[in-house]
Amino acid sequence: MDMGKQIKEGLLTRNPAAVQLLGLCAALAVTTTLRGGLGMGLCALMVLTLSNGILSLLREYIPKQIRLLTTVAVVATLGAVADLVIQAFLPGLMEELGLFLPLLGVICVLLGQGGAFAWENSAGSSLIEGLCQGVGYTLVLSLVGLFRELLGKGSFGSGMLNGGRGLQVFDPQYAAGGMVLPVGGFLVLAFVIALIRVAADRAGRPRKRKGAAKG
Amino acid sequence: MKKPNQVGKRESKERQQSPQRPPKPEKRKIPLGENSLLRIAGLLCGVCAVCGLTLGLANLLLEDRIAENQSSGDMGALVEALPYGERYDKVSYSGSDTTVEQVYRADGVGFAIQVSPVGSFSGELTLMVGVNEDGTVAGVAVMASKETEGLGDRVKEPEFREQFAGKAGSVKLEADGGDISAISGATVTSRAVCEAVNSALAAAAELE
Repeated sequence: MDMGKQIKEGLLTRNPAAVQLLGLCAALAVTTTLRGGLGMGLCALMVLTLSNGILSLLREYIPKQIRLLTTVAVVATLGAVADLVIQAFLPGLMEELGLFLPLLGVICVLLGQGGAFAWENSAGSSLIEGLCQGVGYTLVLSLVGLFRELLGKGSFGSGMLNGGRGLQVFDPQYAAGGMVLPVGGFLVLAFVIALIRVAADRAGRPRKRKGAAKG
Repeated sequence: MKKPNQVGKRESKERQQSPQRPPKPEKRKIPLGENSLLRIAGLLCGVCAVCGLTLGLANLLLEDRIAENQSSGDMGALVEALPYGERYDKVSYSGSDTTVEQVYRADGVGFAIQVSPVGSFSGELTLMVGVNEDGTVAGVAVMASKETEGLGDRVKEPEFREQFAGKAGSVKLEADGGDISAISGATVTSRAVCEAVNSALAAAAELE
């Protein structure tokens, strides 16, 4: 359980959204504001971590033939429970996420690669893997949300800071409105993916250099 | 168990080539032990039963809270559309306007009318329009909107909605000859809001 390595992998070298290119539909749809991206990311993080843990605990008891079915059942249930919890305690976020909140289960099945990691590894490892991958996903979603909101509406943290109004960094009439439309989503996502991949390359490089020096 | 003809033919060829065939493996029977169909099906049922129970439990525990959120959402819109009301009682609406979803009456203050105009861009726009006793608009609140973010959705902005305050009779966009200034780039949604306000004013007049 090399925590440092798994964190780096989750955030950078194996980032689920930027490197593995999973869960991009939500990454485009809910990221019109920072709050949407952060909210969705954190929800996915929790469901992913929990489901990884549960599936991992079941590995000794569930035969191979029904593993995929069990994955779907468990993750979908957790996603639905998370949906109900958000509806009950964070109705504002529910409004923001719209119809992508019910899709949490689907997104987490994808992010967990159909439970591929959880079925083969210990509960502890699986929990950490879920956590790290979730953090990486949240990073991408938050970055996209941040930039789309900033460039598209000129605000920062609307729905979260300043009693819901957010900080108006500059007047919205000078903002590039297209950023909050799908076209802006694609553009910003592309840049964020590129950014993370550059960081991932840099993170991978020093080790190679050390190896070369020794070898 | 039935086998297709081709396999039978292949078998007879094999018999010619190698007279000794290995005995049929025992798996062909249906035992009730490890990895049997029954065990697998049973486990799956078990997993699904647990999932179902979990969902049921979560729903049971949370549904009251969710219903509360729903109604306080309505309450927020009511207060925003028709301030100063002490109580907002539902009244029945028997008019012909199908876009009017619900009418509330606040004694001494006026009516608050929930309208979903037909002309919205996305087809899902719900507004709460407050109408004073004297037939003028008290306020307009957006209850639900799937209008385009950054365009039609901007009808939520106070500057747009404030224009309707005090208006009576009917409202129209400047583009249609009236005095309501539309959100630039969102004429359809702006016009839908006018439609909703007009529906509300008409409904209130009918109910007086």
